[in-house]
Amino acid sequence: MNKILEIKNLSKDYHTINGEISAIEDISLDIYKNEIIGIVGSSGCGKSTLLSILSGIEKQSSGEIISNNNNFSYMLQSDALMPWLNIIDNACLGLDIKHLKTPENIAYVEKLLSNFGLSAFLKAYPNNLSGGMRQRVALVRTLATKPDIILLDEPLSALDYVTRLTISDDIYKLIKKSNVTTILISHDIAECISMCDRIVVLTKRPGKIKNIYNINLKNKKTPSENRKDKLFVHYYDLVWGDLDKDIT
Amino acid sequence: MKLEKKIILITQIFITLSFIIIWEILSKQGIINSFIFSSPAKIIKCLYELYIANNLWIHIYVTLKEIFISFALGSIIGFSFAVIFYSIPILKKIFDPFLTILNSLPKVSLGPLLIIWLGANIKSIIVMSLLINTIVTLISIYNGLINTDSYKIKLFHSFNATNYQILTKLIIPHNIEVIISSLKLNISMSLIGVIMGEFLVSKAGIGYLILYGTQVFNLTLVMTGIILILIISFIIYQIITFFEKNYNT
Repeated sequence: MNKILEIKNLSKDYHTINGEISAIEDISLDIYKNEIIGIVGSSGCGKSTLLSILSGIEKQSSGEIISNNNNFSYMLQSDALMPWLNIIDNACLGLDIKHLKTPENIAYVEKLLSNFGLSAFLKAYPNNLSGGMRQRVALVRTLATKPDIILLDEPLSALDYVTRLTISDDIYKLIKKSNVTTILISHDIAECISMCDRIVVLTKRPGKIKNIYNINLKNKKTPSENRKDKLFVHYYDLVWGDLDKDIT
Repeated sequence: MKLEKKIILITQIFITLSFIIIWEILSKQGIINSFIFSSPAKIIKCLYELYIANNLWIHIYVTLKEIFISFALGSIIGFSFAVIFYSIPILKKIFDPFLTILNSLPKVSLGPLLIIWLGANIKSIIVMSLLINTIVTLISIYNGLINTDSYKIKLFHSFNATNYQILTKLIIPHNIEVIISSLKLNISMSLIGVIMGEFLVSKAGIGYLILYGTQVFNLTLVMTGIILILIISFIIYQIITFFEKNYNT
């Protein structure tokens, strides 16, 4: 497999009034082209910090990221759509910022939106869309810049359970179709197992890698189908057993 | 919703007309002293006399011009400094106590100094108005800017947006309602500042009319000035509301 990203001994410390707090510590991980890798861990273990560092929003305190000039795109927990922009402009926001809003790229975005059944809503505004539709637009915005790696920070956490299941299928299909490497953070172990090729379990803060599991389901299909796989419960038990369950 | 709007409008008109009619009746019946409290009929007559003497529009024009200049300058200066303080947080921290002190200072106390420094002319009036409207505009816009959705800022950073892009494509559109409401506040402050300035130094304007009326004990002229201020304030407020509604739709 082709290595697309190499994380070496990554650590991040925050300076606060109460002293120095270590968010993540000595994380080393190789990520391969076109894989979907899930990161799970208890609240505050540094999952989002890791994504922020990978996307360049934050700088690491120590360690190295070897990314071979890969282009990252970040999808946040909230859809973060701009209420003053219509759907097509929201989806093209990254292109606009990067000065890549060409007719070809706009056509590509329209195609992605059409894959999600949003063709009729191109000129609509976010407040006219349901939570699930908004999240789909946010994913299209993430993919619009044709990134090599997408970083999904609990992208479905704001949605109700039924919508989550439906959208996880849609997102999975689009990710596979786009051949994009994906790093997914989720509190939901089942969601991670159903979507990911590998799962990284982090310890509680400061987050360190506790275990990495290859998810080898027998007949990998869509996330909702994968939940029916015989090995699904096995992986669930493994990951659940590794999680620090301190309620803080 | 339409019915509710109609009820509100009809009630507002009813209250205004009732006030005018009761005022007129009380004055005509001698229950209140019409020399001190004037009356709607006397005010209309005064307005007509000012109009006939070609004075009405001159005073309105002078006051409107001063309001417009101080409103425009106050908005530009207030907005610019709000953006500067937002972009360079340390500057806000440095200037915060000075702004608080200046904002709490009764500006009228600076009036005599302004006249000496700038002369008995329109400059003193504009600066008096700016002292009142700029800080309020600055603070209200700044408070909007710092409350911009942090997720959206993070999103822009993830696209490697420049500070200028974040400002023009996120911060300003995100806060357009805050900016409009601070402009509403600014227009009221400009009106107060200009009238206060005209009290101190002026040869024309509605503030001058009120001051002159007080000096010659023509309280109908004073009341006329006050009514003119109310009408101007109402019209300007309606214009801003019109723009606000147009933006929202």
